[in-house]
Amino acid sequence: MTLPSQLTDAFAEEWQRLAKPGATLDGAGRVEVAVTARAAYAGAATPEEPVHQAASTISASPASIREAWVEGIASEIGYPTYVEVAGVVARLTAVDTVHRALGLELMALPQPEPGEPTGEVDPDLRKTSAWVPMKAASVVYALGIVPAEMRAQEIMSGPLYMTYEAMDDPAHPGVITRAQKELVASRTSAINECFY
Amino acid sequence: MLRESAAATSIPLDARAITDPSIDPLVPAGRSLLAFVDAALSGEDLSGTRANLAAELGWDGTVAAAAVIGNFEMMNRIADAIGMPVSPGGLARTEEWRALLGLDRFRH
Repeated sequence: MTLPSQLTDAFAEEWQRLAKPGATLDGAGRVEVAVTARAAYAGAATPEEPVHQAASTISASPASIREAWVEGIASEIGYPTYVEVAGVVARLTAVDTVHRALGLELMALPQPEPGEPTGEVDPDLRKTSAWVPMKAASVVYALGIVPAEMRAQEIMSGPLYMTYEAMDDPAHPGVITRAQKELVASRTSAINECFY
Repeated sequence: MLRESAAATSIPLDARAITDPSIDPLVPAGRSLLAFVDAALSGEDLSGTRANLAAELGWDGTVAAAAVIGNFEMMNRIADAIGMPVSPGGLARTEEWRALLGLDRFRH
């Protein structure tokens, strides 16, 4: 049994993003975040170092996260790094979940690529109703303080679920119906105790 | 979105099945889809539930369901990590469903 090319291509592209320098972390730092996230998912203890504490918690116990904890982590590593970690861990979880659900071996993590962080962050965003600076109260903009992470989230959503444009069509066709997709989505969020 | 998609495609739906496994969601292959989600997120062996789903939807349908689970594992983590707020309008629109499914016990 194999995955369709739209997924294998998307996962390969995500692995390239993971290995390259991000906005605040270099390639090695991003891959180390992924290692920590996988270990946490497998039951490893939460590390003390803030970046890895964030990776571990977002991976293994996201519903436990509260604003005061986010503020504490961000006071040590900054909101952009916290958001970059959230993006890396969330997309890794998506890739790993598909493989586990289908009984496939997890993809080996990539070798980090050299280079310095890009520094590409949006300096104009401020905290309002969310726990991190955001452009607007929409999950589409959740990672907006780090534009590359926001773009990566959108790129991954297309082959996994549907493009942002298609979300406006409640009858959007696919291999399974839109209603079947939403049933799966709703149950997943309910198990995760996530309001979304 | 489940409510809108079911209405738009004239598919019968009992949304209570999302939080009550004893209820048939009425969506085609709905029980098998819900069982697949539960098994996939339990960390336990899911070969049996995956085979049941594949018997109804084929391998391509099973892959599509797994991909949706993956997407919402991603989106839920992002929402939880950044404290995604729900707008007052969103709360108003979902009041009936939140009550039906007991969703207000989740942070929002």
